[in-house]
Amino acid sequence: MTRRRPDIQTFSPRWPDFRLLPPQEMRLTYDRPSDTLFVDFSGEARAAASVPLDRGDRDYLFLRVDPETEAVVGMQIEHFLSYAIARHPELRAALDVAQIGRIDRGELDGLIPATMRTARADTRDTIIEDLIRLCA
Amino acid sequence: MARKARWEEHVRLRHPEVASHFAAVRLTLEAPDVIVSDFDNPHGLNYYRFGALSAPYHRLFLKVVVTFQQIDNAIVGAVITTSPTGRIAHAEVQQWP
Repeated sequence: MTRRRPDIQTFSPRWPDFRLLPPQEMRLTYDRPSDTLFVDFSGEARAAASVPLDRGDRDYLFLRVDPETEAVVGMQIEHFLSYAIARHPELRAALDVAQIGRIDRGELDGLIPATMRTARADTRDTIIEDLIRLCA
Repeated sequence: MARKARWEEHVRLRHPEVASHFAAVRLTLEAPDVIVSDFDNPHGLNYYRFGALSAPYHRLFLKVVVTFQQIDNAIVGAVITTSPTGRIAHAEVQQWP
């Protein structure tokens, strides 16, 4: 008997017009247990699928996509400390503005490679621009 | 095991698409299509099941990330996170079937 391949949904993600999104509503959150940085465009997590981006041999960059409208409602960067910031050192600054879950900042600093502990003095807008540029 | 605190503080807040579907998470753990190792966590496994969630996520895999630890004489798994996704993640090595 032939095993049928599942009919997996594919996406054509639609990015929002960021000129219309109040930057102060964008929320960054870092979750230590899953080592994931979340970016919510509208201030809170919305129900969505996690759509991986093809960026090399590992999946660590995901768009959060509404499966009905295909609108991108956020981003999800997995393996953030263990992998992502080594590839993209500019992301280190995101931890300075993110809400941090399940770890205090002192412990978090201990997990960051020594060469990255002093972050650039990026503005929040610059950090968000870097994240969007990475995933767009 | 999905600790209530983790479910409330992470799954319900970060993944509202799964928050009301505990049964789907349990089904994925009990009857996965694929189990893979996590390329970061030597003590973890990721479980995938296609179609575990209802519409509009029914054409996606439900991924459940589990980490294991020894407690007394037992190995106990805890759900770390879960979300619907369109594929088995690259670089995750298949462990089952």
